[in-house]
Amino acid sequence: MAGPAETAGQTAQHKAYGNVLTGFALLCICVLASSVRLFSVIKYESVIHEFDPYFNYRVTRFLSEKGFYETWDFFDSFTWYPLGRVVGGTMYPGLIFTAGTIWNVLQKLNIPIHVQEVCVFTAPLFSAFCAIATYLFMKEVRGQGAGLASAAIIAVVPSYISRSVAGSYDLEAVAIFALVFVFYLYVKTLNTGSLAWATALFFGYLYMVASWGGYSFIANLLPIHCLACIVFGRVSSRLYIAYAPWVILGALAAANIPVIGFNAVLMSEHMASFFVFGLLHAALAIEYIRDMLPPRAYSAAKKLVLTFGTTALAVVLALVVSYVAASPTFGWTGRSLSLLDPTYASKYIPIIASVSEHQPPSWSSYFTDLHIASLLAPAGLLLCFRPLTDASMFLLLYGVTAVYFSGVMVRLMLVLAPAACCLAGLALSEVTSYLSASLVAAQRAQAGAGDAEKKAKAPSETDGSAAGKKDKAAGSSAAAAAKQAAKKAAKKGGSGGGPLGWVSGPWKPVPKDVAIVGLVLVFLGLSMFYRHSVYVAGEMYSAPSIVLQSRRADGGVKVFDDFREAYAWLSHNTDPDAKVASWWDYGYQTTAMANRTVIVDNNTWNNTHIATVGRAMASPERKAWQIFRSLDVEYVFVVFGGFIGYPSDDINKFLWMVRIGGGVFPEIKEPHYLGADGNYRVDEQAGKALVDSLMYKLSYYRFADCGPMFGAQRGFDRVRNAVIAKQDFELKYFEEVFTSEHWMMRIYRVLDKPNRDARLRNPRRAKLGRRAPSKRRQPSGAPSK
Amino acid sequence: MRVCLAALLLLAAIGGCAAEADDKRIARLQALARRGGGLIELDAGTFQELLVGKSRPYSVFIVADAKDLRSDPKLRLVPLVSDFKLVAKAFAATNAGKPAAGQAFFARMEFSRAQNLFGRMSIKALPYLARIPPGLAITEGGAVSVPAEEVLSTGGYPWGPERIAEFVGERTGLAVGEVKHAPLISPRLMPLVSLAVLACIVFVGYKLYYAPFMRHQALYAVGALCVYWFSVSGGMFNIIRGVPLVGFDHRKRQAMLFMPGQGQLGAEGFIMGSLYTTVGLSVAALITLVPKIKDSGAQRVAAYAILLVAFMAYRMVTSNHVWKTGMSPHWYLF
Repeated sequence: MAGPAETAGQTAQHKAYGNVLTGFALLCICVLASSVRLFSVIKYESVIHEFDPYFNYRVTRFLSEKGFYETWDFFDSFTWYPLGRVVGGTMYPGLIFTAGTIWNVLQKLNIPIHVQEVCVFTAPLFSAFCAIATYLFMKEVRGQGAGLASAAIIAVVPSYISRSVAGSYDLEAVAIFALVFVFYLYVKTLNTGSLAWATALFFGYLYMVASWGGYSFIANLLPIHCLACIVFGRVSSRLYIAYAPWVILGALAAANIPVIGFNAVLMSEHMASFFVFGLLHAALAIEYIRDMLPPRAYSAAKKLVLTFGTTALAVVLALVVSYVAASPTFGWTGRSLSLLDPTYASKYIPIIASVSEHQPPSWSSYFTDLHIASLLAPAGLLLCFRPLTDASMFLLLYGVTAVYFSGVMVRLMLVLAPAACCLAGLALSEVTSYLSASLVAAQRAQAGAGDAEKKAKAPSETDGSAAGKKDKAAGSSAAAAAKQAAKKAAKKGGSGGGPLGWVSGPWKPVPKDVAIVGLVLVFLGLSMFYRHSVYVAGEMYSAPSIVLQSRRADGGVKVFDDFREAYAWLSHNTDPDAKVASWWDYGYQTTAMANRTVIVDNNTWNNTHIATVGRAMASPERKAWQIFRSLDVEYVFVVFGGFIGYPSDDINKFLWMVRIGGGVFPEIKEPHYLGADGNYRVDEQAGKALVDSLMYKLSYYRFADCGPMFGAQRGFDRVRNAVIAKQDFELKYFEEVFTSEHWMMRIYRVLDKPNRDARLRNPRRAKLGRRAPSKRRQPSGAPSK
Repeated sequence: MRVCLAALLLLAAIGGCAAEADDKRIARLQALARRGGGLIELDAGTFQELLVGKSRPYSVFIVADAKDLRSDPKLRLVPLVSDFKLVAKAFAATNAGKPAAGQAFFARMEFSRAQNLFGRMSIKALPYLARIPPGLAITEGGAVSVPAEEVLSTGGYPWGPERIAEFVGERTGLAVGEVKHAPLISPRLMPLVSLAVLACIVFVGYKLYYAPFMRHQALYAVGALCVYWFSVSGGMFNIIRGVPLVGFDHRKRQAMLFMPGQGQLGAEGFIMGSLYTTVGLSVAALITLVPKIKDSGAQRVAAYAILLVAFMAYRMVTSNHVWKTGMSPHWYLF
């Protein structure tokens, strides 16, 4: 038996070891989180991905050249010609200023690095920060063990990897870190009640609102938590210090971001915070008055207030209801309706429903994107109740709201990911600490000292991952836990013979063999999770979509770099003032890579302008030419996949151009672009308007001449799997100037005056029709007829 | 001259007899329609009664229905039939007591009961709504060839009662009258009713707030689990896409619980959601229940059982996921 002083010394030593071990583990987790996101650089190259990141990259480059104030007032004349775009006032600046700051610091340290590299590696860096923020958050909620487990899970959770691989320079790259960090600061303030942390919360929230539109999730989650605290009688001064300054200062912070501005006090999604702010004051006032007044006076006052309050409320409600009932749509806007009824948007707002991110996820998406976190999260939800603290209630509410909203659209899975990881981490740490504590207990029992029950409490402290957890649960919460257990036992008691007969009072370890099997299973489950996540990171989420790859038959890799080839051609061969028209998807890339003025881009703020381009693409050549001339367009390009079989090309997007164009210009009618059977097709039965449209002509111009691949018929489109309707035609108002290696990008010049000789180059071919080529392609050994 | 007169008289007499017979037939059919709530249910007997003959003094509007396809959300057969019924009622109400009442009948044919009629009318696809014009000769057992202009075009489906009424008016020239959707509450009472509802909600909320069972944490635990289960089951997917609970495999001719490829069926999602939750629940049980078991042997059995359940559920989730997505992750180690 050791003396008390010695034990205390040993405990301190254990704690120190535990802290060093925790720090080391956290470091490993950070390295892992960053390095798992580097697959895209290793497999492809250090390049910015997809569409929106190109805009962020361009503004960051602008920032690194011109400085903060110029960027804040940035008016971009290169997009939305001739309107332009107030970039400074319509963007979330957090990501751009973050990368700009990193670049500046590196420059100050005399590390010469291009701003593009900084942009590429921002996301992996911040996912490491996100792991740390998760650790801190869960440490506040339940202790170090849960913190480490959650950090280890969020480091590689596929849902988050999908938005934060190297090169994915999008808002979410820093926003998820900011989200978790704000949660940490809130819970920290809640636990400590210190104004210093409340100030930190304000700054964290400022960073969050500057980074992502998803801040409105926080703006509603914090009020929900506060409301729950009020309802369940958990109002305290700590809650007040955490919540009240945040409401006022947070609204001010949001109002300072130009893109939000006065929406911070006008929009309905911010109203909840002000409402609960008032409620919190009322609750505190009631508590104060109850303490001040004698009980009888208090109950009299309560009756008085209730009577008057109810009457006033009834009058106000009657007014509101009659007003609402008088208005034709019952006073609801589409936005609030889509919140109340999740199916609203998909039914009535097709432009929202069309985006793949806005589809509801099916069951398999949860397992693909969260893997083991989605399986362990329910256990985490239950463990939040034992014991239920303010912090664990916050985690619970976060988990439940996030999982509900993730069901509505797949995009919100990203908000769910941290919650699921924290809940799963909580469950994981509890189960491993219980099993390993049982192992230690079994060891001690073998050593033959004392009875098992007494020792069972001690070993959890020696266990690194469980350190500091049990003592947190002590005190008032221990009573709650005991009560909870009693309830659970009572519930089960019916099936277990006599009432509570099989229940032992305190905690009891499992036998050694069970603990070993359990730990092995946990280890296997985690290995599977890591295998899945690394695989998904490497194979599914690393493609930059600006460079494409395909495997050749011999196992080599074939690279399709047509996009950059064409953008480079534009930047080297056209006048710097030239205006380039294309469908809006490629607007950001054109301005960033070709450095030319575009008509529309991915910031789809002006529907009429987009519809004008859609109308031009859907119109016959002459009319399209007039439209483009009126917009000063000199070059038009289309993305075409029929040659190599790249499915997301403009012909496949064409119906959206027709729909959006037809929404503003009624002369464009979708049925004209469909075949007789109502299907969208490019073969003989294609709609007449489609074959006449500029998009068809620019895509298939001289396509039939280029020679079929793999012995297919002349004019065979590999995406649509059909022989195109009209194969030979000449352009009268446009001139082909560039077609990339694999025909994926085709650039045309808009002529000043129409071609005078626009007949077919070889009239014989048109006359011969389709017999000649099929004759020519007889195999050499085939008998001739 | 006499011969002519006699012939005319004879004709008139025959005509009168025929008219009388027609009146009787119409009266019978009207009684039949009234029994069916405005619609005549077509089967072999009623078909004979209603339609067979060289010509009829009335038009018949037929809507096709199929019991098996009622669950298909895209076809909207149930609303179609109820709209059709509304039009039939509106027609009857507008023309009650007038001779026009007997000039149009509304009938429904259901696939399982009148399968051969579908074949005779060569109906290949639903929705189908057509008029049998009075002049169309229909023989017993022969094909019924409805002219194309008498079939309501499927463009702009779902039609709604207004479109159907317009079609009836167009083809027959008879007034259908206003189709009445029964409103639940009159708009004037709206504020009062909603106020009452609000008052009830406030009252119930107040009572709930002070009800002791609302302080029970188990209630919230179960609630949170239910929300979780519903979401990971893709419940929203089911609602937004209108997925049926169970699909039907047309090749194998049997019900289908799991659907290969993207998307999901309702029951499939709920089964998988339950498996997800099972793993979580068994882990929770291992931590919360097992330490409380007094007897060592029982504890060991319980713990092994829980581990087995968790493991099996995990295995089922992973194997189904591989089947669904075709993903085959591999280690990057070697």
